[in-house]
Amino acid sequence: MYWKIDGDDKTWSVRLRSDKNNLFVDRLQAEDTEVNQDFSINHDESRGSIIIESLGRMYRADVTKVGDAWWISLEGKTYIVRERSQESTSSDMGEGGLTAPMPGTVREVLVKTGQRVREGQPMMILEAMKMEHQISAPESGEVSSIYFKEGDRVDMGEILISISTQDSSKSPGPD
Amino acid sequence: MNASDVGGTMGAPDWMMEATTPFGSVLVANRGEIAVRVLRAARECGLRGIAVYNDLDSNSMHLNFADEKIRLPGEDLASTYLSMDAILDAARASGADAIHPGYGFLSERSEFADRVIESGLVWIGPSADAIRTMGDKIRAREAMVDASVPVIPGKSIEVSGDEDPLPQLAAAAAEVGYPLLLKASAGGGGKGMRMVEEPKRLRTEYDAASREATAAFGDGTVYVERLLRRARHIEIQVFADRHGNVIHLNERDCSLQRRHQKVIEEAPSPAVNPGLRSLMGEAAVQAARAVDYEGAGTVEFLLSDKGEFYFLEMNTRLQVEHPVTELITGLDLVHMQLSVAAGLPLPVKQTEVGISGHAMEARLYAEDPSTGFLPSIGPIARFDTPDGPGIRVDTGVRTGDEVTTAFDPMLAKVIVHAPDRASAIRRLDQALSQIILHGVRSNIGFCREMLVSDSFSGPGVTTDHLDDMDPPSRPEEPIRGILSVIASAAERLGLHRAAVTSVPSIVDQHTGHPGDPFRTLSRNFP
Repeated sequence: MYWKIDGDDKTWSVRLRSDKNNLFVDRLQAEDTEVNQDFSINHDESRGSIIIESLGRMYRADVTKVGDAWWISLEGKTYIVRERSQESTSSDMGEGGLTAPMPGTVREVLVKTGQRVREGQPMMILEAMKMEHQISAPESGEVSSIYFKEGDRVDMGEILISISTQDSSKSPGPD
Repeated sequence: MNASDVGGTMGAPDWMMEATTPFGSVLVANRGEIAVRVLRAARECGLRGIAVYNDLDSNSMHLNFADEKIRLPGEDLASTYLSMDAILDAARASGADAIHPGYGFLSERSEFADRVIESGLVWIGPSADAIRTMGDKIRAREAMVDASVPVIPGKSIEVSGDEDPLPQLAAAAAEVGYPLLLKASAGGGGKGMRMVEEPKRLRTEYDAASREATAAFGDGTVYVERLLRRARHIEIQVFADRHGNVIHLNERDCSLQRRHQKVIEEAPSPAVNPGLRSLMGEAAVQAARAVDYEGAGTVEFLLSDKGEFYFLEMNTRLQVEHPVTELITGLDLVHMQLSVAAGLPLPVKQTEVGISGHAMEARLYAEDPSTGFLPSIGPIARFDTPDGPGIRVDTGVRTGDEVTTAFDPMLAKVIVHAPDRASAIRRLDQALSQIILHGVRSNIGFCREMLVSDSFSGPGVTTDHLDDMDPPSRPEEPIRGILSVIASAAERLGLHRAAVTSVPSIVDQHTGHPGDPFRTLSRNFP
């Protein structure tokens, strides 16, 4: 997963590994630099907080997801950590699926299944809180599926559209 | 039928039986934390509490504390909370006996006080005349001079182009004292205003001022006023009843301000000793007597570094920061307002008013220090308030509410009480660190930086202090790594299932005005 922290320019990437009920950090990178730091991750379900042990200390964080960002209260300070959508949609969601960055209503669908789209081309318009959010193609390709139509309600994180890229073998799309 | 309706005049509670103007219900013409505060007090006092709300407030927190709520149709303030007609209609519709204005809105509108009284209702506040006099800077200054309350030394002199004004100016300047400000009465916007440090600079600065505002200075009035540098903002809480009793409830220190907005307030003031306290208290009582004051009021003074104090203005209402006075005196100011408005005498004498420990308040604003304190809007996805010994939170919002630009950005106040100032600072810092506020940005981090800064923990805060502060620093590198791990873990654990609808980002990439919430209200995202 790729993150940006408000007030900081760097993109952080995190790869987690789960083993039974435990989560571990496989890799942590600041831009292209790998950070070697040990983490142990625990979850306090009663409060919904996350407890991290690192650098010989324990950090207790209270977290809330608001839109595409995690608001994290840590040691008396509040930070906003935003998901980098391009990277995360391609690496985590796979197959070029485009996800809703916020809950809302589909206002307009601008493309058809099978249509070729260029990188940055608007494909769908979502509306939430009286604001419009445009979903654009992250790369050039062909629209393989459209999962919602005009007027549908979508939840945050739901896959809206998938695209198959010309030279991509992993995402052939429906025939 | 309400229990308090039985037996009393107009359904007034038992404790009001001896009162000259008893009442059984009170309409609170306000919203947010102060409406919650007053409605709570009304309940405690056995009064029927009536709330009003406009169309943006139909689910607001203050309505939970009312026995009855009356809608003020509309969304804009002018036709709702600021409309005398709308409020008086609501009072009639609900059969309210009394009106409490809170602070802001109509609280300092003399015409409103008049109209409430003309409608046969009890007005919980001072007379319209007192509001009028104190609301007019010039009349207030005159009234204070007549009452021997010290005002900032100043003198106006007439100059004409025909003669050298210097002898006249020098005489006035000597009387007022240095350093001083030279102001052209016809000037304005800083034009024709000069600071004079010492007598030998008088001519140079006068000439410079004349050049700046030629027309203004050629003929006309020049005002010479003492310049108070590094002054502290000290206010005295006063209380007056209808029986001629006027007391003061000690001072509050509001020196920690940012661009004239109070941020941290405390009582007692670290700059006021018992001798000065009784002098300032006496002056404040004189000020209240001069306008036949009734109820709760606050007399604001500037206190110079030399220990001289001068009347600034009087606020003819309850103040936002009244809780710090409540904590050190053990008195409930809203209860006292209700009781005085019913015509009862003050519950305490001056000699019974003491000071216990130290109280400090931080105002929680929905604003973003990293964008120059622009208001921050959004959903309050989570708001956990602090608790513990000596911690009080007066709030008007809770989790699930929405912060919009329609209302004042103050969300809540965190007030602490501790044995002494140093422990009050630590307690407030800890209380603020416990707050979890997600979905809107706030000044919490800024308040905490202020509290622990050397200039605040020492006694030397002045009103210039906050404007000198550095912008917030960015998080340290190791913390940033931990934050990304937390976000990933939270995502993996599915903690976002409790997610709240929100503005994804308030950085406006179209206009280049990052964070300007007024611009993000109806825009298209890229």
